[in-house]
Amino acid sequence: MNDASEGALLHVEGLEVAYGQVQAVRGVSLSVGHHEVVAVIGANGAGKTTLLRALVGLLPSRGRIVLGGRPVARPSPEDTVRLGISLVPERRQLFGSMSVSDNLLLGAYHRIGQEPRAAIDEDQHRVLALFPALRDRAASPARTLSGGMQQMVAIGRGLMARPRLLLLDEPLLGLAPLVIADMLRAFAQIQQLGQSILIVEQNAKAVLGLAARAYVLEAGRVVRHGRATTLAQDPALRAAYLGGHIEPAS
Amino acid sequence: MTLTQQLAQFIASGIVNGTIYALLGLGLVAIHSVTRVVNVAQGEFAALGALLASTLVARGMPLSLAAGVAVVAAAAAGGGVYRTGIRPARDAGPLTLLIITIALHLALKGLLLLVWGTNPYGLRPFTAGPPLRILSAVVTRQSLWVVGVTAVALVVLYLFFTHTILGKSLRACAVNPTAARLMGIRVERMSTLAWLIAGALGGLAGVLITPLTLATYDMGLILGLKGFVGVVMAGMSSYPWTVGACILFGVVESLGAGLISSNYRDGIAFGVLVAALLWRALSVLRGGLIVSEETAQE
Amino acid sequence: MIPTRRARLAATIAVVVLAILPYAVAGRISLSIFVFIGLFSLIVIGLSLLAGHAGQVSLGQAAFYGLGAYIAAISTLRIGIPPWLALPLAVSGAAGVAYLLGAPIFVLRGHFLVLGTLGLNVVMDVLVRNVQSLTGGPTGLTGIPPLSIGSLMIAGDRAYYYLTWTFVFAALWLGRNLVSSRVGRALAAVRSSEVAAATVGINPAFYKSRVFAASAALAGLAGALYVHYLSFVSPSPFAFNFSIDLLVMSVLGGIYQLPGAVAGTAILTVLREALRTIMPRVLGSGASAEYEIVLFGVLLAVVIIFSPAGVWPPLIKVLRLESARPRWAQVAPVAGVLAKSSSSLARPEPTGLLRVEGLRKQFGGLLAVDDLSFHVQAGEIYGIIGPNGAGKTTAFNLISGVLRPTRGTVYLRGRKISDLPAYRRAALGVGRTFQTPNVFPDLTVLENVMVGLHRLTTTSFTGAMLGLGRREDTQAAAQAAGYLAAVGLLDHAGLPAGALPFGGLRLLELARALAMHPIVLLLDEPASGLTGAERAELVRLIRRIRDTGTTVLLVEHDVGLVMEVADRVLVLNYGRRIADGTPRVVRNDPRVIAAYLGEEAVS
Repeated sequence: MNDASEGALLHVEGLEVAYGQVQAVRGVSLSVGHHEVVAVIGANGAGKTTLLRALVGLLPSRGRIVLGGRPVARPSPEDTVRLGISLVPERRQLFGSMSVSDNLLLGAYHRIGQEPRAAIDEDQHRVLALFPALRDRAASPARTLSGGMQQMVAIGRGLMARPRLLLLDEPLLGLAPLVIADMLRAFAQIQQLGQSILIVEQNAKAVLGLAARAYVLEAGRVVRHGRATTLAQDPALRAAYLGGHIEPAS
Repeated sequence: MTLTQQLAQFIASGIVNGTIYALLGLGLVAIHSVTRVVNVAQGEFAALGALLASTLVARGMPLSLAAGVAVVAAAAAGGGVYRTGIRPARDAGPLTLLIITIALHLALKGLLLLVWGTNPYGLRPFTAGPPLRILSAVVTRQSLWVVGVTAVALVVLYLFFTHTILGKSLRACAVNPTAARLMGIRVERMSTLAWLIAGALGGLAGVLITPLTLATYDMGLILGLKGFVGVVMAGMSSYPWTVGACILFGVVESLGAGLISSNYRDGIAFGVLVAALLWRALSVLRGGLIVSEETAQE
Repeated sequence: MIPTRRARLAATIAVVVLAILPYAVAGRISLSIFVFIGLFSLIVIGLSLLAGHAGQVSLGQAAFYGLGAYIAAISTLRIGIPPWLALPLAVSGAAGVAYLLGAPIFVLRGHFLVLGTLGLNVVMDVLVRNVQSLTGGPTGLTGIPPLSIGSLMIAGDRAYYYLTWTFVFAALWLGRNLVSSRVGRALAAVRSSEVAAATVGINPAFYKSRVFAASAALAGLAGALYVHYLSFVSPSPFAFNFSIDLLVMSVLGGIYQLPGAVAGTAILTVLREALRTIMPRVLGSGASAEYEIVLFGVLLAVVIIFSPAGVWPPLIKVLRLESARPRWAQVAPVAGVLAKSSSSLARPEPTGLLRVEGLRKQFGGLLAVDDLSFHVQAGEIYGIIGPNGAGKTTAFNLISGVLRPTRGTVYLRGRKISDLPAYRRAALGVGRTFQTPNVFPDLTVLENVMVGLHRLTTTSFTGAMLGLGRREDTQAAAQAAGYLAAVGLLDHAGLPAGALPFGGLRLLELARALAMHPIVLLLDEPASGLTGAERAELVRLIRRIRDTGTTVLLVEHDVGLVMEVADRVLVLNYGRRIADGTPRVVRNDPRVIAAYLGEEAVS
């Protein structure tokens, strides 16, 4: 995996995150290359969300972080998005009282003034083409949408930043099975456009089919990593779908 | 005067006062929604605008230019107050931030006193001429200016918040600062912007009201407090409801003062406020109290 | 915290200095400024108690000060009540008004007390100025008699100096007792989480309104002393501006430590006085008042920006007065707190111990719980599983009273509890833990569990102030230590709760809930975030809890754990029940496999 750091969009080594005296992420190393979909799976409280929040600088951390090929001493969310990495946060975090199209527009905030407005409008059309269900609701306040549609807005808002790497935090959380299927189809489409994705999910079954590689996080540590197809066959991991425990591989 | 005429008169003057409170209240909402600070020094922006405009006009500057300079100066005061006083302590608790704004209120008031002294300053009405009759109320031309300019300001504010990317990002910071940061919006700059807007609105209120009441260095606190009452009545975050609540507050105050005694003016206004609070609390009690919803949602 | 020897020494020195001060300054400075520092300290101690310990801010403390002053003045002058009787009248008058205002307002959360007290202050000021027949209007009242007891007349600077400072030390003593008592712990709990406090049976509004009344009583006392001291009263000292001054004094000193109130008051009062006398000398007599305000505002802003917690904490650090040793550091734990008890098992309920009927909860457009019905038998371990967003935690919130149902009913032992507030349900025996551990970080680990014993201890608000609950506290500490031993946290008893690792927080929350002696215990994802070993220990603990007679409801993602310990399992999806029954039945239910477990799970 070490060679991956060269051309990787995202490369992390020995990441440590603590809340007060609680160590939530312990020495995590991972990387995501170009045009690659990578999954991080693990139970509730395993440190997945903390990991993503630390990566973009929402939480202070220790360790080596390389974003977009550039080592970043102290990541900040405002700069991370400008480095081409866009986080779609857990529980969507939409601007609830604002319209769907305003939410999408704000996703492109850092491009406004840098690029012609037509390019941004065009991307908005692309997002609406990806999630046709949003078309009729573009003017509605985001909080009036169903959970699934809100998740579409959140992902669309992330895409509007034109990221090279999209970080998805629990995008399937609380969604209906049918919506999950839609969402997975949308992810596949995004992937086909050459977009790199790092997806963090409890729903391992759903994302292992999508990702090329995966990391398994438990109690803040990476306890397994490898090809998604291999991991999907791992008996210990299969037990973990139902909450069993994996001893760290030696 | 008949009772109806009197009532119309009181309501008219209440609306004018309420409009001024609304300008201050809107500034408080802008500041609170983005930076979570309750700004006690809000009224000082009005005092600064009022005193500066008076002096500039007295020195021969055209009224419109003087008003513009005063509003810009008040806006700069708002931004300056944020940068020097609030930002260094932005991680402190709300009570500490409240005390800092009290300190800033004292410092600003002292500065105004240093420059302008204790004398009241006047400003001539924006247009000369006799009062007008509207329905059965007699309304001065300046009152119309107050309401009219405020209405224009509200429309401008509305367009700013709904039709410009800057206004939208400001709202985004208020709704969800974390998500705003993830979009690359620099919340720090938006906070400064919120204080600039609050300063400008305060300054505008001061300029508008001076022809009606005269300006003094210590006029700010009570104006700011009345704006604050409207803000809290409207729930601390809504711009349109704040305007409504402030105007309602102005009307109640004016009716009370007119019908009972003007000595009791503030007493009636704030008495109604306490009564409204108690009524709201009792109706919650009657419904059976359960811990509030927003804290409990997953 | 237990005061160190150094702290005791410092306190003794302070008392001695204050005692000889009138003789030391005799003929050089007027004593009156020290009398005023004492009077203001009384008010600020109350305000710090309110802001620092009840987490509420008053912008109308000057109104209670004025209320005390005018009650004392009017009752002695106009009604002819003797001054020694007017004093308690003033105190209880101020406290009574505060209680009547506070008790309803605390039902509303947020900035409402600020607004209510601000309003009260303005109304007070206007009334005092205008009801001239009673108050003398803006010019006020003169000729108020000094305090006297029998033939002993309390008059003059020196007498009021000693009297006022005696009251200040009494207030500090009462306040300190209160803060370190059962009530103080309840206040700390309310301050850090009203939801968590309510779920151990504490009614937040009850304690907040009492602290508010106590703070008003102190202000009323200061007001009454003031008028008897000066024999004169007028409206201006009680205006809203002074309320702001008082709040500034309180924050300047530091709201979390009561002696800080005296420090803040002294600093502010002396500073104002000094600026008033020094500035004209420095700058010539013309511009004195102007510079004073500016400098005062700037100084205040600088102090608060650099020391947001006030001057007291750094002062304590510099003088090394703070003790590192928490109270109850060494307590012998009561053994066998989790012994078998027969009380809960004794009465089997025909319709189940806990019964949920047609429960529904709607958040805006989202139906989180939809027509949910189930019942749980006494002594059962009842598991609830389902995908994220299935409504499991919402169901717990509806049962424990954290949320109000849109529709439906919850019965405990046949009694309808769904219209009761959370703290009443806790008192009836509904205990719970939270998905994200919700402990009280300002309290020690042991004190957290003592808060769990809140309903089982009895020291009243007044009793706590008088220091009457110490014995009960000692017993409660031993009891709490017993629960800590049962969950394996006894070694950490003296640690601040916030310093525990994640697994420890879960166990602490569990110990706190157990201390309530719940009939039903709701555990919300107790295993999440635990390591393998901690999880195994949890399984043993859950079984032990059931064996004591407590019925356990368990929401968990760790399906393996639920299948291992639960007697019956309820499966939710989209707020609806899709199956329930024994683990074996549920595991093989085709609907559960399709909707939740998935095909591979059973293969």
